[in-house]
Amino acid sequence: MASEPAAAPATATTASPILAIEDLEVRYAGVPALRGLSLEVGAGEIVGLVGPNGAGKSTTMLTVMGVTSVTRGDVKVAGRSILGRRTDAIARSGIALVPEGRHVFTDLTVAENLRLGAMAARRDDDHLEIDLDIGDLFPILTEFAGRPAGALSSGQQQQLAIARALLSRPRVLLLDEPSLGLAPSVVEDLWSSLRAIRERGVTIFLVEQRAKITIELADRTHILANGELRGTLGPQDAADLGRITDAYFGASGGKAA
Amino acid sequence: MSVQSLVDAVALGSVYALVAIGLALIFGVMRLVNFAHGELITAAAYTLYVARDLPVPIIILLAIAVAVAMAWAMERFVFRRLRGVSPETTLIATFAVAIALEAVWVIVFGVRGKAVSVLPGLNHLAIHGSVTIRWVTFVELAVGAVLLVGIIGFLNRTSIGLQMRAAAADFRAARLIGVRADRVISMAFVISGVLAAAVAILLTVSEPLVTPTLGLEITILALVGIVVGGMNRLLTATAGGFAIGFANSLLGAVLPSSQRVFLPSAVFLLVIIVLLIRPEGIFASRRHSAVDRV
Repeated sequence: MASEPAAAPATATTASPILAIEDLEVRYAGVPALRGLSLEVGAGEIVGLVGPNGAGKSTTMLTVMGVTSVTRGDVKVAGRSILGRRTDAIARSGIALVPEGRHVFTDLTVAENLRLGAMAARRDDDHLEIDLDIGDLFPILTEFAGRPAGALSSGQQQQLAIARALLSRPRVLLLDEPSLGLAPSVVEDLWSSLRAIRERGVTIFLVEQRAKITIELADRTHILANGELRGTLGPQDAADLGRITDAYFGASGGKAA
Repeated sequence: MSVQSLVDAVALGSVYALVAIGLALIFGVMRLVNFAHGELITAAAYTLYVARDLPVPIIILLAIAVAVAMAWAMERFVFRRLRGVSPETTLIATFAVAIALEAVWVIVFGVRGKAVSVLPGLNHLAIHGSVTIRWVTFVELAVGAVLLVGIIGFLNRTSIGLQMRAAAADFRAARLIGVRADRVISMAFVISGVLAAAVAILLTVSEPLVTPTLGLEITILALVGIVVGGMNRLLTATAGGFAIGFANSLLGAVLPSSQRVFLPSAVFLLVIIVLLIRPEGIFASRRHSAVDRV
């Protein structure tokens, strides 16, 4: 596990990270799911975290949100630890998670889902200086505002889940496997939405199983396997499949055909 | 079967619907069947007894205050501490609270019933003739309708109501977008307290006797109604509660008095039949029941 992965040493740290995960260890019934994970997300960045199933990606997200408890390490938002705070308090402090599987409220209308997101908007002074015209980002949501969210397609539900999170005016938008269960063309649309969101100054921490498209999109992408980081790749590595698979399976893991 | 028994059945159905709403609200936000809900009714009813010499509006306000305070305290000091433990544990805890409170009623008020008559005027006949209807029947219907409409309006038109619906649909997702879980749950308990007090007031008008098991009996029957109606939605649960009260009253009228002891058996037989035919609840739409619980 100590082998240095063949990864580009992209900027590993930022001056003042908005989100900092420090030496994080999480265990489920004694079995470690994260083994000393450290990473940082700086303002305006998209940071990716990719890895195979069971690598600890969702655990990372749920730990940041205070759903999972921590055996070691720390999670800091703008320099202050948020460990031990309640999930809803963390959400209101400006960390918005779009959970795996979207979890929109299917019985509620699109507009009600969005209102719920807006209710969590922070009232402190460092509001996001971003243009959050949801109608502009996701026109379909305006069109279907009165419909129950359950009537939307899965791609539209993903848009709704992201819009709902954005309306809370988060310091960081966490996305847990947004591409899951979506058709390739829908994923393409989603990815252009994410680019548009980044252009508006939103900081994004993106967890994905689809490595290539994540590496292309993110400023840097960490590879997570078995609860620890295997390396970091930049967008320039997206074309280099060998590098990605090496990082995924460990450089010493033999040739992955 | 007379028109008279139908009218009485509708009235009792309304009262059971109120019990059902209270139970369904808590079940909605916590996935918890609150067996202690009945003790809120009993507590409010004993408050009516204890405060019997005060002016009627004050008696009623006191009953509401006691039920609300007790509902709030139950959540704050018992169920909140158990959040995160297995649902079975919390379910047992609701039993424990119910049984403990029942013991308190027995110790303080004795096993024999206490006579309560807060609004005796409501027993006067509003309509005479072949069908006689007492005022309380109209009041039961009106209070049932007003509270149901009021709660639906609260859930649909206020921010905390919206948050409550979100929490009921997907509690974790609601917390993840910043819904204050504690506040939403407290609010649900407070409303269930108000409903319990309303039930106590209405029940003691037509049957002016408070016993330690008053609330528990109603709660169990209403709960059966909720399951029969479909417990995942407020409206189906309410309809189920109404149906069980209605059926109970009607069967009571239809069965010859020598056979009254079989009333519960008859009601539960109906329930078994309904659940065999429509296990997802009689009023639940099939399309929903498959996907709804997400």
